[in-house]
Amino acid sequence: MLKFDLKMKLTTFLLFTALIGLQANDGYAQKTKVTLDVENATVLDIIDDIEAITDFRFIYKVKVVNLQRKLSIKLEQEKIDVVLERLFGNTATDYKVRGTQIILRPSSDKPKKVQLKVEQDPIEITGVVMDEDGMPLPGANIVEKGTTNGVTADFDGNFSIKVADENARLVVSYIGFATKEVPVLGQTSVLVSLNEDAAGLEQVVVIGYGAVKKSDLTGSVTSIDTEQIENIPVNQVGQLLQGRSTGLQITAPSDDPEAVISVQIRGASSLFGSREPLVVLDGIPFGTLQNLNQINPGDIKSIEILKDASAAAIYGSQGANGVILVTTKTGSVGKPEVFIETSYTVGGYTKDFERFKDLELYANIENTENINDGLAPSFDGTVRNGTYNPSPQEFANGTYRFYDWLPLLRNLDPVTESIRAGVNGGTENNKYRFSLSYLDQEGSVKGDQFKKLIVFFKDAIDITDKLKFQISTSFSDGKREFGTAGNPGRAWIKPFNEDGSYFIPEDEPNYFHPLVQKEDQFNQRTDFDVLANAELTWRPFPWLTASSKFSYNHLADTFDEYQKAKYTELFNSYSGIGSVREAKQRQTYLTNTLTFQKEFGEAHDLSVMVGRDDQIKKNRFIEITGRDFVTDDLLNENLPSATIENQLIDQGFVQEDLLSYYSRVNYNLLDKYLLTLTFRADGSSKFGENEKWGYFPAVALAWKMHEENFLKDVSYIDFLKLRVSGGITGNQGIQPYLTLPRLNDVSVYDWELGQNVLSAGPGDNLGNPNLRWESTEHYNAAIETAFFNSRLRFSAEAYFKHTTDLSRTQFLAPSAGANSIRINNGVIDNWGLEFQLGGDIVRTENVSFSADLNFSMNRNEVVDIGTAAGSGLIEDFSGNQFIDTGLSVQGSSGLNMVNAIGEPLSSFYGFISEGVIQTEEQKALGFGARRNFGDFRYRDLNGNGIVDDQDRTIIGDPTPDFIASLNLSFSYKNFDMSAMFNGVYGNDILDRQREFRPYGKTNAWSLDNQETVFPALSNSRNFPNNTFYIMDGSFLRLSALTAGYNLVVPEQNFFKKVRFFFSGTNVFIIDNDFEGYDPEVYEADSSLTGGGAIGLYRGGDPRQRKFTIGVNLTF
Amino acid sequence: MLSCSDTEEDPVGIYTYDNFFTSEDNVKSSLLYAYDNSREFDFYFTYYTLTELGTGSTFVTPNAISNNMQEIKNWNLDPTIGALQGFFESSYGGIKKANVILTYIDEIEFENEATRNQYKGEARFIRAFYYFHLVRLFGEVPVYTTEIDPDASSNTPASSVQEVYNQIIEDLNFAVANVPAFKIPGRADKTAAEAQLAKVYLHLASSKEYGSPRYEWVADQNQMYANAAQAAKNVLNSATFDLDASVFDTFPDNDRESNEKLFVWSVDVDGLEVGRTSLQTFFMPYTFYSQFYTDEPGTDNIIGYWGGWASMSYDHDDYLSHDTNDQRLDLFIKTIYSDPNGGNPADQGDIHYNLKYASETGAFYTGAATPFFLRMSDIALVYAEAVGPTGEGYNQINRIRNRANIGDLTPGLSRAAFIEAVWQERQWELVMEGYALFDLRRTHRVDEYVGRDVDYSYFFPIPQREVDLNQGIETDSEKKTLN
Repeated sequence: MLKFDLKMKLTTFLLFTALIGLQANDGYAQKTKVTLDVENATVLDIIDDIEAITDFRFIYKVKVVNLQRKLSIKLEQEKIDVVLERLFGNTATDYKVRGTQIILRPSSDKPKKVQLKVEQDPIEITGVVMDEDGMPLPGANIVEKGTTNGVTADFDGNFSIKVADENARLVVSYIGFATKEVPVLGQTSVLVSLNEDAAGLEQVVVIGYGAVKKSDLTGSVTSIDTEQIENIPVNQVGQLLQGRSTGLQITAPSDDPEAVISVQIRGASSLFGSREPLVVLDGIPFGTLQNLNQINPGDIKSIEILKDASAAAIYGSQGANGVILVTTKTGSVGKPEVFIETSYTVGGYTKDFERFKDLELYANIENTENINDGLAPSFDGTVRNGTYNPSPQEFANGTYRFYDWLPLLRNLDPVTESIRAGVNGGTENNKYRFSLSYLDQEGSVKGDQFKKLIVFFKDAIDITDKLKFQISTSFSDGKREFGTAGNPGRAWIKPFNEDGSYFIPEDEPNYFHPLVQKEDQFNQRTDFDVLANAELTWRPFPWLTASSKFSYNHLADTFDEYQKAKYTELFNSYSGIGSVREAKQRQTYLTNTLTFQKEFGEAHDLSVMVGRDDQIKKNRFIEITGRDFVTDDLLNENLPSATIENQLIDQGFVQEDLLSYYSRVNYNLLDKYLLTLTFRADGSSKFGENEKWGYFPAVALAWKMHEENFLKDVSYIDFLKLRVSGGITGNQGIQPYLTLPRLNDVSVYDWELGQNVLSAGPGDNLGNPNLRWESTEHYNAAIETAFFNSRLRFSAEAYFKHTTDLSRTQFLAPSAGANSIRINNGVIDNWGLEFQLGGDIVRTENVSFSADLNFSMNRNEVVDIGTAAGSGLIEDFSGNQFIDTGLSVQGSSGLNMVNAIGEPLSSFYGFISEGVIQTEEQKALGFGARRNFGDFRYRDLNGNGIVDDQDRTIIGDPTPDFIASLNLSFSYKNFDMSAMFNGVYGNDILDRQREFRPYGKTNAWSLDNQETVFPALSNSRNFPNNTFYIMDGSFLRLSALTAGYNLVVPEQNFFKKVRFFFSGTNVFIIDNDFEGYDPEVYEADSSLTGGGAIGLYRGGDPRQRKFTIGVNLTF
Repeated sequence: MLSCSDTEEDPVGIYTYDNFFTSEDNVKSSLLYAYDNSREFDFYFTYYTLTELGTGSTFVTPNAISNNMQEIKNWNLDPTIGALQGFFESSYGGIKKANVILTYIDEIEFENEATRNQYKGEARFIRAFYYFHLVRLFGEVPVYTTEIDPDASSNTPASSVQEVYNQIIEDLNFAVANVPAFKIPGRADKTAAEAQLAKVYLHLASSKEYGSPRYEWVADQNQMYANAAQAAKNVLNSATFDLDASVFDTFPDNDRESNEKLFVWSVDVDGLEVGRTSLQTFFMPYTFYSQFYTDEPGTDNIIGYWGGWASMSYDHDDYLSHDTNDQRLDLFIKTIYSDPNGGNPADQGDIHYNLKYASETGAFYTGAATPFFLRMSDIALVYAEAVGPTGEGYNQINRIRNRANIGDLTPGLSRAAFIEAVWQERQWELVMEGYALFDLRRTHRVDEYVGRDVDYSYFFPIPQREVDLNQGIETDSEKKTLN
């Protein structure tokens, strides 16, 4: 079913014949006479005729000669020169006869130039835009070249445009198709056929403060096809991006509606600063991917990932972690089009939650634990502290049985409902889009509910041909009711009485029913966010555009919390605790740019952009807490009724200002050689006078080799581009006000006044006025190719990132009276390779099948973190020099995760376990007091005969060796299907609960079970970190599977589009015997290096398997 | 709304030196913060462990391992001991708080110059208070009298013991001259400064007399005794402070109206959030989530809330060394009751829990006791020791003895015997109040009292972290073997 491009073949053939033809008689042109009589035939037809009747062969490049021009010619027995003059005289095509070859090329002397100066009435051109198969392309854009004059094709692909004169050229574009330039040439009606652009090379790609054709990119930018992710129901855009780009690692550990996910582009390069890329929404720096929750994913038109310095340096100090550009949809020309998409999703868990259902086994295990710990068995059929503890026999004989509390406390099949609806349309001068989305998602515990309504409106108005105005607003109203997990308690106590009321054991009047516990805690957050953008674009000349953009984003969150007296009295002496917290974020953003773009002759295309950004962020919160209430009835709505000394207020305000100047120069020589120079200067209020400004330059070069003569006619190479870039990006790395010596303010009791007063004085927060930006040098080299009419696509990138001036802690001598000061010192390197391979395996009218493979590897190394004293560097026996990340995990004190010189960031640290102690001699190899049979024994690294803290070393790396994804798309007529596989390989997970889970307990070491890796049962033996807890985190997941069917809608039907879809996420996973729930793990923890711990498993709320059905309607 | 960004760092709602040291009231506020430094765990708790555990009069339960209690008790010390570093660091934190006030106070307008000098005097009292602890515990330490520059702190040599004392005496004299007499709990007044000065002089006098290491430079021990006596006399003649009629007026409820406490911690006995510590839990019996009681029936016999850790108790032999009539024995408890009316007794064997810091109010492991750093009976005994077996000397020691219901000290003792008796009285009267180690060090009796030669008996090592991070400090291995 292969379909070769015939024109390309023809060209090759002609080249071949032309070479042969060199031997031919030079006088042929003089001798041969041609007779022609054609009416309203295309140039192509005429050429074909001439070739049929003579030995002449035409040689030309399809793109540059207008073959569709129609004309009528009547000639008899004329020399070829005369024929050609009739055919091409006064047109944009020059001809030259060489022997039997006729070479056609674009005319160099611009014959019509003189006439250009003549004022002409506009010419109205009508036309139709179709694809290769003759299907109309509604919404295609038609623009008169070099002007802002443009229209959009209607539903049938028809358009009508007024152009300046008959020499005008129309630029016709449509998403997914190669853009075509059509000369008018005096025609009043044109038929434009666009070729599908599988590689998307002609697609326009948004870059910072501008857009370029994908083929003209000089930096490393991945464009994400939003169509592919449209029907995957997730509420976080971040989850959608997983696997969609090389170099982008997204770790989404949970399906919680607002789970914190980790997003990293090309590795981590900061110790304490953010590692998350900057998200830019419609040109406005917006924060992290988490912030995009304010936007309805259905309104997103395109997403671009900027990876290298050339692409990201235009964002300067915010660009070191890469940039994600998100663009929202704009209305299209045409009658109002109403769309409704509704979907229903049911989640579920891929594994049962591990718990003991066999209570006899459970009781025996618990008893063994106690016996091993030298205590009396706890399940012995006696009453202790007012609680009856059944014996194992009573479980065995059924006196007490297992009640499954899990379904009472958890949503085992949480439902998500989603509706997106809106209207889209407009005229050429006023395009609008209005959309509404509503999401209602159940969380994983009972009572946990997330609801969100987003209203989006965008209007693009052309005030005049030269002045355009666009406004967009997004309102988002959300509410999260946090359910409390509730302590499942004792599984042998039944939840309910016969009549459905809560069961309370008779002998335990103080029994606190788990469901009551849940009800006694009330915790919710409501947010109301408003985003408003306005943009004014003025294009006084075709080569000059001035743009001014203003954005205001207001986020208001309210946290309500109340714990009823019955609950609080369990833990402290208060009767009821309630609080209200109001947090407001206001971001104001103003950007002004001036863009100059002009072609100088055929060879030079220059564009220069300069701009200035003003960015102000203000965060403010106030929290009021009250304790000790007379009654719980009013929850937290009556805080003043708390006793006076139990009314507490907290408050805070932080402001960040950023002022930036930037410029970019793009120079395109001969459409082959591309140069991009970028520069940005950022001034931030976070830094002191001396280091206020950071400067971020970048340069990139690209060479479109396929445009070179030696490759131009190689038929199977469509695209071949080499590019290199280098530059510097920055990371602010710090919170505001760290350069100032801040005073601690605390309440103290003033005995003179007899009351608490606020007092302030110097604390640990020494300011460092010399703090500066973390800076990353980033070098990138890449090759991009497309073969066989873009059916085979391959690209490869290699990069090296060198981050210096790491913002980190310098420890001070204790006599300084303060522990530490923040300084810039330290180096992290990242390097990596990225490959992308795509193929359209089948591409026919009815059937298509394509596969895209992304492969990325990143190596990360801490190169320098300062001196031993200054940064608290620890050196162990094995020669590792490191600082602690501060990760603390249950059951393990001491070091768990470290940043060591020469090792990846956040490496796991501990002993090397050699199994459990089985013999008397092996007891010497235990650690501390834990050296009994069945305890771990460790490798004695320093060979001193005992295991001590010097025997610890680096034992694992949470960063994958590589990540890969495979995306398959299949369509047959109106049916389509796609699948996304996503995998990571070679990363380690620290699973500190390994021996405490039922699997570990039932397989624990004992005299009867010596062949096991699990230590003996115990409640009190906490082992230091060691390799037993290190698990392989590799996995392969079918993360998304979507199938859709587009109903065939007859024309003139009320409905324009009817689509049914079905999708599944997390359909299956293959892992390497990971014992926890799911190996995709990430723990957000602001106290940790980089704000979280990749690779730490704490058994949190895991991934669900979700299935969705939905329908899209357009009418 | 369309304001342009301004890259100036202009904090709102955050105090910096620039925007805070602008008014008299703010200086006072900062002064309260400097007093509050003593409430840092590393200071207040380690204050007791470092000064009491190694002296043998305090029993430490073997499972009490927090804060290096076992190492301190067993004199198993080295420069890396965390408790030493914690104490050292928090002492300098207090010094820094005082120094910042002294650095900025002259830039501020005061209505009344006397107030400025009073605040300066209080700040200098605080600074002297910390240096006096540092010099007695560590010997040579860096002396800072202005705000510390983080860069300079990495290369500041230690001052000699004499230089540190000169600074302490200068600061305390300034305080005596500029701080009026007043009685505000948590603050130091003229009397407190004089009391501190009396202790400084006595420490110098006795260290010189008995040949304690590093005090050879003290020129005239008799002059120092005379200075100590004079300062102590001023305290004893104070119009606002005096011995309480009974030790129970001072203990165990930590009555803040007590006239005996010359300088108490800046803690609030009633506060629920502010000013609390968990000090009492280390002296209380091990209980969890419960109240417990003495055997005196009634409502006043609650001795603790929310339990304790049973870390430190009175050594049994030292307990037995008291006269059986000694009322001070009632400040220790062997049997606790979980019933207010004396029900459910739990005998703790030979362990005697200290009620000096017990408090009947408190919640969730925080207590509301009002511990103190200086009290009148200490100064009475300082005076007795300074003047020796004179009528006044006898008078003061007998006031203490009589109050405890034990008879007068044998009259006509030699100076040596009299002073020995004062030391014994100090041990009985002031046990577990943070004085024991200093008394042993200044009288050159550490090894004798411990019963063996121990390392760092006279000066603890400078914490390793200070040695590592301050290039100006040289390790002093000599300290290990000083005698």
